[in-house]
Amino acid sequence: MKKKKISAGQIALHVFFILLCICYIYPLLILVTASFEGASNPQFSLRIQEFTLDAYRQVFANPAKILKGYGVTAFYSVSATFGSLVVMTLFAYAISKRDFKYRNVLTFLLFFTTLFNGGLVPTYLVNSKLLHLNNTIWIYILPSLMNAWNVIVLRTFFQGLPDSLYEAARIDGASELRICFQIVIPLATPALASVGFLAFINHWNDWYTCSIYVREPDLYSLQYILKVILDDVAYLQEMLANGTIAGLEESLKNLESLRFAMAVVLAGPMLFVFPFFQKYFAKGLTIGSVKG
Amino acid sequence: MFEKKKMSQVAVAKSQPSQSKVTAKRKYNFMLLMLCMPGLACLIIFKYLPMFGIAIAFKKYVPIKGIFGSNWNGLDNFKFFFGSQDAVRTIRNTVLYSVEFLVLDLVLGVLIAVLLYNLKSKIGLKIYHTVILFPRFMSVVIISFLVYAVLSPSAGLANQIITFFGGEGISWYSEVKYWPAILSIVYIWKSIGAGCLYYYAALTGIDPTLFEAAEIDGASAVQKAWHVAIPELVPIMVMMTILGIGNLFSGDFGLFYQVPRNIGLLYDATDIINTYTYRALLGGELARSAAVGLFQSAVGFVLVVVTNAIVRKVSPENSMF
Repeated sequence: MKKKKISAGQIALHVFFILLCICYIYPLLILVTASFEGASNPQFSLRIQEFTLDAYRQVFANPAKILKGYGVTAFYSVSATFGSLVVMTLFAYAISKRDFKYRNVLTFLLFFTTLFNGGLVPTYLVNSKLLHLNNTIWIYILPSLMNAWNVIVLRTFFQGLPDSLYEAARIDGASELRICFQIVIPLATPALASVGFLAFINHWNDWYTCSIYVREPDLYSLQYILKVILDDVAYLQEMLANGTIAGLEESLKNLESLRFAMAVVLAGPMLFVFPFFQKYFAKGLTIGSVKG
Repeated sequence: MFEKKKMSQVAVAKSQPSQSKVTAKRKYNFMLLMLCMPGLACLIIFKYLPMFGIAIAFKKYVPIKGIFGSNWNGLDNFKFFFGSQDAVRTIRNTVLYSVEFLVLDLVLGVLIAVLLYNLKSKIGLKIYHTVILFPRFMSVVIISFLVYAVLSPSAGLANQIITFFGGEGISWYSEVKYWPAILSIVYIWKSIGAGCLYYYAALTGIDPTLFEAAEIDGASAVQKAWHVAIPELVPIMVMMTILGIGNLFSGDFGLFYQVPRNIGLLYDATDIINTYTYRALLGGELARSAAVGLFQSAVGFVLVVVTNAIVRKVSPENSMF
């Protein structure tokens, strides 16, 4: 009797979670089916009224801009993630040392940036009027190299490593630089992987930086291209009409499907890849929750 | 006592170190300082330099003259903002949404975490959690595509359902009154998967014998959750609330700007301080935008410092500084 009762509870739980998951999966499926819809007056649903690949044909007929978007985004995401891991690890390692003379000053300078910031406009003026980073690839990379929260996470991780580790290396005559690179960094791989993964996602999904600083279409990030496509049909037409395609309205009854095909092509591949790295995400949270 | 004395004697002996030890210590500090240099340079250039630019908030900014060449105009930029109806609207929206999201995060985060914890099937747990965590990996632009697929007046899912039940389709993107609910649903949809992780991690840390003891006493699943699990989660709930109060004055820019697609008709329900400063910047109102930004930063600073002082009283090990 009791066993049956428990399983009834479990069934209720499963039903609840399956319904919840449908709320997540259904809109994504609609996004995909809408890209195959050929009817001129479509309804977004799982049922496709007139199946067609026309939208994808259009998208791939002139793929130069899409490839450029991928190239730009991949380049800055990888280099910004890698660069910031290097810069932040070195900083975090130094301020994790209790006997480092300037530890308190540097930690305060780091921490204060989480409490107060100049705000959007002063930052904009420094980046674009003083450093002239606007309309260059560097605007995606340099300003985000140091993230105080991530440095604090790494510092906490380094502080957790046993002191005996350092002592042994020092007795063997290893320099501070060598200890950092050959002993500490290999041990810190899990922490670096989770911080790096989160940083990479944020860079990949960034449209904000581009919307403020970049007016040069060749340097648009993927998500900004997507944003413009959603906001502005004219941009979509211009983007595709640069090639040999004539009269978009003739070839495509359903402009909406083109938008959604673009969304699938621009955002789809990475969304399949990210969940495989999910374990680093959960790890990052648990490391971050330990404060020191 | 004896040990301590001995130690202090050693320390005295050490306090007159040889020349080589001093240079070694100096070299050590220098080496570590060098490691900090790239990061320190980034902090100074990208975080501290802009703080001087705050001066613009007190100036009548003329682009050709630059910040320091432009004339001071005292608090005019602030007066302009506080004198407009935008001030009431943006501050009200920012604070009310923050409070609402804080409560939703807390209640639903704990609920979902407890339900996940009660699942016996490990595969089910993994699948369900992967699915609800998925939006964490999407950009807000893709989320706004999905919202558009649901709310599009002519083709959207929502209106299909309404017309199916004989109702009349609603033009969602021009009706302010629905947006507080829409934004709340979208917010919780996208953030609950990551939000419940904190509570789930805390639940897996609870001593299982507590649950076994409750079961022997004849507690039902609901009773176990209410009397055993939730009391164990209270400290982390308190912490999350306090951290949330520190962030009360800033909102999720992407959600409020991109999901309603920056439609002016909806500002009454969708405009927050972050979207206001952003629009003012893109519109070329640099000084006014900076004034609002400074107001936001200053209030945020006070909130964080005050809440941290409270945390230090309540549970010192959780305070940030």
